[in-house]
Amino acid sequence: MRVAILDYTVGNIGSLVSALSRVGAQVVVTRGREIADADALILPGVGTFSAASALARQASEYVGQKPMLGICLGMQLMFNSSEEGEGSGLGIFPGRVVRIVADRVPHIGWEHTRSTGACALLEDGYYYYLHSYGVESAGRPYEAAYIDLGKRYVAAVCDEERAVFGVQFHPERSGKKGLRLFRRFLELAKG
Amino acid sequence: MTAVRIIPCLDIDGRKGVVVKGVNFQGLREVGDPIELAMKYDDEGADELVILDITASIEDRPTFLKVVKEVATSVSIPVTIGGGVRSLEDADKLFKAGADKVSINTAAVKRPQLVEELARQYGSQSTVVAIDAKRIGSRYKVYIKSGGTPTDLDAVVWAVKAADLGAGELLVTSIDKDGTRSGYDIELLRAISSSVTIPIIASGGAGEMRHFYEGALAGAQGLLAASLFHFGIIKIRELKEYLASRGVEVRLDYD
Repeated sequence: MRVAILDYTVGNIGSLVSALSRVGAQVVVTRGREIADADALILPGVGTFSAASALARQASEYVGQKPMLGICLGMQLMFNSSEEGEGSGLGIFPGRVVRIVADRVPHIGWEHTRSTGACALLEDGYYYYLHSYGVESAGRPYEAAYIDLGKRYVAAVCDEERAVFGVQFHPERSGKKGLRLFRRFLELAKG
Repeated sequence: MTAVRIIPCLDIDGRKGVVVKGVNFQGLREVGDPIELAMKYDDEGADELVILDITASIEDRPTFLKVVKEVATSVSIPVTIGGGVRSLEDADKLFKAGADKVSINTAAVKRPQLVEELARQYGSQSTVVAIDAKRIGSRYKVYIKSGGTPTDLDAVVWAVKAADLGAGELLVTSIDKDGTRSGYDIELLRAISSSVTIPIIASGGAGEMRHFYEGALAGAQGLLAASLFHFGIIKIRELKEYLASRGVEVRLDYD
Protein backbone atom coordinates (compact mmCIF):
# COMPACT_ATOMS: atom_id res chain seq x y z
CA MET A 1 0.00 0.00 0.00
CA ARG A 2 1.62 3.24 -1.16
CA VAL A 3 0.39 6.45 0.40
CA ALA A 4 1.43 9.86 -0.88
CA ILE A 5 1.45 12.80 1.50
CA LEU A 6 1.09 16.05 -0.40
CA ASP A 7 4.01 18.25 0.55
CA TYR A 8 2.83 21.86 0.69
CA THR A 9 4.23 23.01 3.98
CA VAL A 10 7.16 23.83 6.10
CA GLY A 11 6.86 22.23 9.48
CA ASN A 12 6.10 18.90 10.89
CA ILE A 13 4.67 15.88 9.12
CA GLY A 14 7.01 13.46 10.88
CA SER A 15 4.30 12.22 13.22
CA LEU A 16 1.99 11.60 10.27
CA VAL A 17 4.65 9.64 8.40
CA SER A 18 5.45 7.50 11.41
CA ALA A 19 1.78 6.82 12.26
CA LEU A 20 1.08 5.69 8.68
CA SER A 21 4.20 3.54 8.66
CA ARG A 22 3.09 1.98 11.91
CA VAL A 23 -0.14 0.76 10.31
CA GLY A 24 1.74 -0.71 7.38
CA ALA A 25 1.74 1.99 4.71
CA GLN A 26 4.64 2.76 2.45
CA VAL A 27 4.81 6.53 2.67
CA VAL A 28 6.14 9.04 0.18
CA VAL A 29 6.13 12.78 0.83
CA THR A 30 5.88 14.53 -2.50
CA ARG A 31 4.50 17.32 -4.60
CA GLY A 32 5.36 15.64 -7.86
CA ARG A 33 4.75 12.64 -10.09
CA GLU A 34 4.77 10.08 -7.28
CA ILE A 35 1.20 11.09 -6.42
CA ALA A 36 -0.03 9.43 -9.59
CA ASP A 37 1.61 6.13 -8.62
CA ALA A 38 0.27 6.09 -5.07
CA ASP A 39 -2.77 4.08 -3.96
CA ALA A 40 -4.03 6.88 -1.76
CA LEU A 41 -3.40 10.58 -1.16
CA ILE A 42 -3.25 12.52 2.10
CA LEU A 43 -3.51 16.28 2.50
CA PRO A 44 -1.72 16.95 5.78
CA GLY A 45 -2.65 19.40 8.47
CA VAL A 46 0.04 21.97 9.13
CA GLY A 47 0.57 25.44 7.71
CA THR A 48 -1.82 28.17 6.63
CA PHE A 49 -4.67 28.13 4.13
CA SER A 50 -3.21 30.69 1.74
CA ALA A 51 0.24 29.11 1.74
CA ALA A 52 -1.15 25.65 1.00
CA SER A 53 -4.04 26.35 -1.36
CA ALA A 54 -2.03 26.71 -4.58
CA LEU A 55 -0.11 23.49 -4.00
CA ALA A 56 -3.23 21.65 -2.90
CA ARG A 57 -4.88 22.31 -6.23
CA GLN A 58 -3.09 19.42 -7.92
CA ALA A 59 -5.09 17.07 -5.68
CA SER A 60 -8.19 17.98 -7.73
CA GLU A 61 -7.34 15.69 -10.59
CA TYR A 62 -7.30 12.67 -8.27
CA VAL A 63 -10.75 13.21 -6.75
CA GLY A 64 -12.72 10.05 -7.48
CA GLN A 65 -9.54 8.43 -8.86
CA LYS A 66 -7.95 7.42 -5.59
CA PRO A 67 -8.96 7.57 -1.94
CA MET A 68 -8.12 10.88 -0.35
CA LEU A 69 -7.91 11.99 3.27
CA GLY A 70 -7.57 15.60 4.40
CA ILE A 71 -6.36 16.27 7.93
CA CYS A 72 -7.04 19.54 9.80
CA LEU A 73 -5.96 22.23 7.31
CA GLY A 74 -6.06 19.43 4.74
CA MET A 75 -9.78 19.00 5.43
CA GLN A 76 -10.32 22.76 5.30
CA LEU A 77 -8.68 22.87 1.88
CA MET A 78 -11.42 20.54 0.62
CA PHE A 79 -13.98 23.35 1.08
CA ASN A 80 -14.47 26.46 -1.07
CA SER A 81 -12.61 29.17 0.79
CA SER A 82 -11.33 30.33 4.17
CA GLU A 83 -11.42 33.38 6.38
CA GLU A 84 -7.81 32.58 7.25
CA GLY A 85 -6.50 33.91 3.99
CA GLU A 86 -6.46 34.28 0.24
CA GLY A 87 -6.71 31.43 -2.20
CA SER A 88 -9.47 29.05 -3.03
CA GLY A 89 -10.01 25.55 -1.77
CA LEU A 90 -10.72 22.45 -3.80
CA GLY A 91 -14.48 22.85 -3.46
CA ILE A 92 -15.04 19.13 -2.97
CA PHE A 93 -17.42 19.99 -0.13
CA PRO A 94 -19.62 23.07 0.00
CA GLY A 95 -18.82 25.69 2.62
CA ARG A 96 -16.42 28.25 3.99
CA VAL A 97 -13.81 27.92 6.69
CA VAL A 98 -14.27 30.46 9.50
CA ARG A 99 -12.45 31.49 12.65
CA ILE A 100 -13.70 29.45 15.61
CA VAL A 101 -15.84 31.11 18.25
CA ALA A 102 -15.33 29.37 21.61
CA ASP A 103 -14.30 30.06 25.20
CA ARG A 104 -10.67 29.36 24.34
CA VAL A 105 -9.18 29.80 20.88
CA PRO A 106 -7.07 28.12 19.50
CA HIS A 107 -9.03 24.97 20.17
CA ILE A 108 -6.34 22.70 21.61
CA GLY A 109 -6.89 19.28 23.08
CA TRP A 110 -9.06 16.18 23.14
CA GLU A 111 -12.66 16.71 22.17
CA HIS A 112 -15.50 14.25 22.32
CA THR A 113 -16.40 13.66 18.69
CA ARG A 114 -19.83 12.46 17.68
CA SER A 115 -20.33 10.49 14.52
CA THR A 116 -23.48 11.04 12.47
CA GLY A 117 -23.08 7.52 11.13
CA ALA A 118 -22.36 8.75 7.62
CA CYS A 119 -18.81 7.46 7.47
CA ALA A 120 -17.34 4.03 8.08
CA LEU A 121 -13.91 5.42 9.01
CA LEU A 122 -15.05 6.90 12.29
CA GLU A 123 -15.86 5.76 15.75
CA ASP A 124 -17.21 8.03 18.51
CA GLY A 125 -14.86 9.25 21.19
CA TYR A 126 -12.00 11.61 21.95
CA TYR A 127 -9.69 12.85 19.20
CA TYR A 128 -6.96 15.49 19.33
CA TYR A 129 -7.61 18.94 17.85
CA LEU A 130 -5.16 21.78 17.24
CA HIS A 131 -6.73 24.63 15.23
CA SER A 132 -8.10 28.18 15.19
CA TYR A 133 -10.33 27.79 12.13
CA GLY A 134 -13.15 25.40 11.41
CA VAL A 135 -16.26 24.67 9.35
CA GLU A 136 -19.71 25.28 10.82
CA SER A 137 -21.63 23.04 8.46
CA ALA A 138 -20.85 20.79 5.54
CA GLY A 139 -24.46 19.95 4.84
CA ARG A 140 -26.02 16.59 4.17
CA PRO A 141 -24.99 14.02 3.23
CA TYR A 142 -21.35 14.93 3.76
CA GLU A 143 -21.16 15.75 7.44
CA ALA A 144 -19.84 12.63 9.18
CA ALA A 145 -19.02 13.87 12.67
CA TYR A 146 -19.18 17.01 14.73
CA ILE A 147 -17.95 18.58 17.96
CA ASP A 148 -19.71 20.99 20.26
CA LEU A 149 -17.65 23.98 21.43
CA GLY A 150 -20.72 25.89 22.54
CA LYS A 151 -21.20 26.21 18.82
CA ARG A 152 -21.19 23.17 16.58
CA TYR A 153 -18.28 22.50 14.22
CA VAL A 154 -17.60 19.87 11.60
CA ALA A 155 -15.25 17.14 12.87
CA ALA A 156 -15.34 14.95 9.77
CA VAL A 157 -16.71 14.97 6.25
CA CYS A 158 -16.98 12.16 3.79
CA ASP A 159 -18.10 11.34 0.32
CA GLU A 160 -17.87 7.58 0.20
CA GLU A 161 -18.78 7.42 -3.48
CA ARG A 162 -15.69 9.40 -4.46
CA ALA A 163 -13.72 8.04 -1.44
CA VAL A 164 -12.90 11.53 -0.21
CA PHE A 165 -12.60 12.04 3.54
CA GLY A 166 -11.68 14.93 5.75
CA VAL A 167 -11.10 15.15 9.50
CA GLN A 168 -10.60 18.32 11.52
CA PHE A 169 -8.71 16.44 14.23
CA HIS A 170 -5.25 14.86 13.99
CA PRO A 171 -5.50 11.05 13.76
CA GLU A 172 -1.70 10.83 13.94
CA ARG A 173 -1.88 12.39 17.41
CA SER A 174 -5.11 10.74 18.58
CA GLY A 175 -3.76 7.62 20.21
CA LYS A 176 -5.03 4.18 19.23
CA LYS A 177 -8.29 5.57 17.84
CA GLY A 178 -6.33 7.60 15.33
CA LEU A 179 -4.30 4.60 14.25
CA ARG A 180 -7.49 2.59 13.79
CA LEU A 181 -8.85 5.33 11.54
CA PHE A 182 -5.72 5.14 9.38
CA ARG A 183 -6.03 1.37 9.24
CA ARG A 184 -9.61 1.62 7.99
CA PHE A 185 -8.61 4.23 5.44
CA LEU A 186 -5.88 1.94 4.11
CA GLU A 187 -8.29 -0.99 3.90
CA LEU A 188 -10.61 1.17 1.91
CA ALA A 189 -7.78 2.14 -0.40
CA LYS A 190 -7.04 -1.54 -0.93
CA GLY A 191 -10.54 -1.78 -2.32
CA MET B 1 -16.17 21.05 26.59
CA THR B 2 -12.63 20.11 25.75
CA ALA B 3 -11.16 17.48 28.06
CA VAL B 4 -8.66 18.77 30.61
CA ARG B 5 -5.23 17.50 29.60
CA ILE B 6 -2.83 15.63 31.86
CA ILE B 7 0.69 16.43 30.71
CA PRO B 8 3.85 14.72 31.95
CA CYS B 9 6.93 16.87 31.46
CA LEU B 10 10.31 15.48 30.55
CA ASP B 11 13.16 17.80 31.49
CA ILE B 12 16.08 16.70 29.37
CA ASP B 13 19.75 17.19 30.01
CA GLY B 14 20.52 18.10 26.44
CA ARG B 15 24.15 17.02 26.66
CA LYS B 16 23.43 13.51 27.90
CA GLY B 17 19.96 12.94 26.46
CA VAL B 18 18.50 11.79 29.78
CA VAL B 19 15.51 12.92 31.82
CA VAL B 20 16.42 14.89 34.92
CA LYS B 21 14.52 16.59 37.70
CA GLY B 22 15.39 19.50 39.95
CA VAL B 23 13.78 21.33 42.86
CA ASN B 24 13.08 25.05 42.55
CA PHE B 25 14.94 24.93 39.23
CA GLN B 26 18.13 23.65 40.91
CA GLY B 27 19.92 20.47 41.98
CA LEU B 28 19.42 18.06 39.09
CA ARG B 29 19.25 14.31 39.33
CA GLU B 30 18.83 11.75 36.57
CA VAL B 31 15.51 9.92 36.46
CA GLY B 32 15.43 7.91 33.27
CA ASP B 33 15.37 7.36 29.55
CA PRO B 34 13.16 9.82 27.65
CA ILE B 35 11.88 7.40 25.03
CA GLU B 36 10.96 4.73 27.56
CA LEU B 37 9.18 7.23 29.78
CA ALA B 38 7.37 8.87 26.87
CA MET B 39 6.03 5.55 25.58
CA LYS B 40 4.96 4.53 29.07
CA TYR B 41 3.02 7.78 29.56
CA ASP B 42 1.38 7.46 26.14
CA ASP B 43 0.24 3.97 27.13
CA GLU B 44 -1.04 5.09 30.51
CA GLY B 45 -3.23 7.79 29.00
CA ALA B 46 -1.19 10.98 29.08
CA ASP B 47 -2.87 13.54 26.81
CA GLU B 48 0.26 15.36 25.69
CA LEU B 49 3.95 15.50 26.50
CA VAL B 50 6.11 18.51 27.14
CA ILE B 51 9.82 18.05 26.54
CA LEU B 52 12.23 20.74 27.66
CA ASP B 53 15.94 20.98 27.04
CA ILE B 54 17.03 22.51 30.32
CA THR B 55 20.70 22.74 29.42
CA ALA B 56 20.13 24.17 25.98
CA SER B 57 22.96 25.75 24.15
CA ILE B 58 23.69 25.61 20.48
CA GLU B 59 26.46 23.00 20.60
CA ASP B 60 24.26 20.67 22.67
CA ARG B 61 21.49 20.57 20.12
CA PRO B 62 22.23 17.37 18.15
CA THR B 63 21.68 15.07 21.13
CA PHE B 64 18.47 16.83 22.08
CA LEU B 65 17.13 16.84 18.52
CA LYS B 66 17.74 13.12 18.33
CA VAL B 67 15.75 12.62 21.53
CA VAL B 68 12.90 14.76 20.18
CA LYS B 69 12.81 12.81 16.96
CA GLU B 70 12.77 9.45 18.68
CA VAL B 71 10.09 10.47 21.16
CA ALA B 72 7.90 12.13 18.53
CA THR B 73 7.90 9.05 16.32
CA SER B 74 7.38 6.65 19.23
CA VAL B 75 4.22 8.15 20.71
CA SER B 76 0.72 8.74 19.37
CA ILE B 77 0.00 11.88 21.38
CA PRO B 78 1.17 15.46 20.74
CA VAL B 79 4.51 16.77 21.94
CA THR B 80 5.44 20.33 22.84
CA ILE B 81 9.15 21.05 22.70
CA GLY B 82 11.02 23.89 24.33
CA GLY B 83 14.28 25.07 25.80
CA GLY B 84 16.77 27.43 24.26
CA VAL B 85 14.71 28.40 21.22
CA ARG B 86 16.06 31.75 20.11
CA SER B 87 15.05 32.07 16.48
CA LEU B 88 12.72 30.85 13.75
CA GLU B 89 15.54 28.54 12.62
CA ASP B 90 15.72 26.91 16.06
CA ALA B 91 11.95 26.40 16.02
CA ASP B 92 12.07 25.03 12.51
CA LYS B 93 14.58 22.38 13.59
CA LEU B 94 12.27 21.30 16.40
CA PHE B 95 9.21 21.16 14.13
CA LYS B 96 11.18 19.14 11.61
CA ALA B 97 12.25 16.79 14.40
CA GLY B 98 8.60 16.16 15.20
CA ALA B 99 7.33 18.89 17.53
CA ASP B 100 3.61 19.58 17.29
CA LYS B 101 4.08 22.78 19.26
CA VAL B 102 7.17 24.76 20.12
CA SER B 103 7.55 26.65 23.36
CA ILE B 104 9.62 29.81 23.78
CA ASN B 105 10.51 31.61 26.98
CA THR B 106 13.60 33.80 27.37
CA ALA B 107 13.79 34.72 23.68
CA ALA B 108 10.16 35.85 23.68
CA VAL B 109 10.80 38.23 26.56
CA LYS B 110 13.92 39.60 24.92
CA ARG B 111 12.38 39.89 21.46
CA PRO B 112 8.56 39.71 21.60
CA GLN B 113 8.43 39.92 17.81
CA LEU B 114 9.61 36.31 17.70
CA VAL B 115 6.19 35.25 19.00
CA GLU B 116 4.58 37.04 16.07
CA GLU B 117 6.97 35.47 13.58
CA LEU B 118 6.39 31.98 14.91
CA ALA B 119 2.62 32.39 14.88
CA ARG B 120 2.68 33.66 11.30
CA GLN B 121 4.89 30.81 10.10
CA TYR B 122 3.44 27.87 12.02
CA GLY B 123 0.09 29.14 13.26
CA SER B 124 -0.88 30.29 16.75
CA GLN B 125 -1.99 26.79 17.63
CA SER B 126 1.62 25.60 17.49
CA THR B 127 3.15 28.60 19.25
CA VAL B 128 3.49 28.28 23.02
CA VAL B 129 4.90 30.95 25.29
CA ALA B 130 6.29 29.66 28.58
CA ILE B 131 6.16 32.04 31.51
CA ASP B 132 8.21 31.39 34.65
CA ALA B 133 6.77 33.53 37.43
CA LYS B 134 7.77 34.27 40.99
CA ARG B 135 5.69 36.02 43.58
CA ILE B 136 7.08 39.38 44.69
CA GLY B 137 4.76 40.99 47.24
CA SER B 138 1.26 40.95 45.81
CA ARG B 139 2.36 40.60 42.18
CA TYR B 140 4.07 38.06 39.98
CA LYS B 141 7.30 38.80 38.19
CA VAL B 142 8.56 37.10 35.06
CA TYR B 143 11.94 35.35 35.33
CA ILE B 144 14.02 34.22 32.39
CA LYS B 145 17.03 31.98 31.78
CA SER B 146 15.57 28.95 33.55
CA GLY B 147 14.30 31.05 36.41
CA GLY B 148 17.71 32.55 37.14
CA THR B 149 17.20 36.12 35.98
CA PRO B 150 14.43 38.47 37.08
CA THR B 151 12.84 40.90 34.64
CA ASP B 152 10.70 43.97 35.18
CA LEU B 153 7.73 42.29 33.53
CA ASP B 154 4.53 41.58 35.39
CA ALA B 155 3.44 38.00 34.61
CA VAL B 156 -0.20 38.85 33.92
CA VAL B 157 0.68 41.82 31.72
CA TRP B 158 3.17 39.67 29.80
CA ALA B 159 0.61 36.86 29.41
CA VAL B 160 -1.88 39.27 27.82
CA LYS B 161 0.79 40.69 25.53
CA ALA B 162 2.01 37.24 24.46
CA ALA B 163 -1.55 36.27 23.55
CA ASP B 164 -1.95 39.50 21.57
CA LEU B 165 1.26 38.76 19.69
CA GLY B 166 -0.16 35.42 18.57
CA ALA B 167 0.76 32.86 21.21
CA GLY B 168 -1.78 30.06 21.08
CA GLU B 169 -1.09 28.68 24.51
CA LEU B 170 0.71 29.66 27.72
CA LEU B 171 2.77 27.31 29.86
CA VAL B 172 2.65 28.96 33.28
CA THR B 173 5.22 27.77 35.81
CA SER B 174 5.44 28.95 39.38
CA ILE B 175 9.09 29.11 40.41
CA ASP B 176 8.08 29.23 44.09
CA LYS B 177 6.06 26.03 43.79
CA ASP B 178 8.18 24.03 41.37
CA GLY B 179 9.33 20.75 42.94
CA THR B 180 7.68 21.44 46.31
CA ARG B 181 4.61 19.19 45.80
CA SER B 182 2.55 21.73 47.74
CA GLY B 183 0.08 22.45 44.93
CA TYR B 184 -0.06 24.73 41.89
CA ASP B 185 0.03 28.48 42.47
CA ILE B 186 -3.73 28.90 42.22
CA GLU B 187 -3.72 32.66 42.46
CA LEU B 188 -1.26 32.96 39.58
CA LEU B 189 -3.33 30.58 37.45
CA ARG B 190 -6.56 32.44 38.21
CA ALA B 191 -5.01 35.79 37.40
CA ILE B 192 -3.68 34.66 34.03
CA SER B 193 -6.58 32.41 33.09
CA SER B 194 -9.09 35.20 33.60
CA SER B 195 -7.00 37.68 31.59
CA VAL B 196 -6.54 35.71 28.36
CA THR B 197 -8.76 33.62 26.08
CA ILE B 198 -6.09 31.18 24.92
CA PRO B 199 -5.56 27.86 26.73
CA ILE B 200 -3.14 27.75 29.65
CA ILE B 201 -1.12 24.90 31.11
CA ALA B 202 -0.48 24.89 34.85
CA SER B 203 3.00 23.89 35.94
CA GLY B 204 4.97 23.69 39.17
CA GLY B 205 3.91 22.26 42.49
CA ALA B 206 1.48 19.40 41.88
CA GLY B 207 1.96 16.87 44.68
CA GLU B 208 -1.31 15.01 45.04
CA MET B 209 -4.45 14.38 43.02
CA ARG B 210 -6.37 17.16 44.74
CA HIS B 211 -3.90 19.69 43.34
CA PHE B 212 -4.82 18.77 39.76
CA TYR B 213 -8.48 19.28 40.59
CA GLU B 214 -7.66 22.70 42.03
CA GLY B 215 -5.67 23.57 38.92
CA ALA B 216 -8.61 22.69 36.70
CA LEU B 217 -10.94 24.78 38.87
CA ALA B 218 -8.51 27.69 38.60
CA GLY B 219 -9.07 27.66 34.85
CA ALA B 220 -6.15 25.65 33.46
CA GLN B 221 -6.83 23.52 30.36
CA GLY B 222 -3.65 21.52 30.83
CA LEU B 223 -2.14 20.21 34.06
CA LEU B 224 1.56 19.48 33.99
CA ALA B 225 3.72 17.51 36.38
CA ALA B 226 7.05 15.73 36.22
CA SER B 227 8.52 13.95 39.25
CA LEU B 228 5.11 12.76 40.47
CA PHE B 229 4.76 10.70 37.33
CA HIS B 230 8.46 9.80 36.98
CA PHE B 231 8.58 8.35 40.48
CA GLY B 232 5.21 6.63 40.19
CA ILE B 233 3.68 8.62 43.05
CA ILE B 234 0.55 9.21 40.98
CA LYS B 235 -0.70 6.96 38.20
CA ILE B 236 -2.27 8.78 35.26
CA ARG B 237 -5.26 6.43 34.99
CA GLU B 238 -6.09 6.84 38.70
CA LEU B 239 -5.67 10.59 38.46
CA LYS B 240 -8.05 10.79 35.52
CA GLU B 241 -10.63 8.61 37.22
CA TYR B 242 -10.38 10.79 40.30
CA LEU B 243 -10.89 13.96 38.21
CA ALA B 244 -13.81 12.39 36.35
CA SER B 245 -15.43 11.45 39.67
CA ARG B 246 -15.24 15.10 40.68
CA GLY B 247 -16.92 16.22 37.47
CA VAL B 248 -13.87 17.27 35.45
CA GLU B 249 -14.03 16.17 31.82
CA VAL B 250 -11.05 13.95 30.97
CA ARG B 251 -10.22 11.51 28.19
CA LEU B 252 -10.51 7.94 29.43
CA ASP B 253 -11.21 6.09 26.17
CA TYR B 254 -7.60 5.48 25.15
CA ASP B 255 -7.45 1.69 24.89
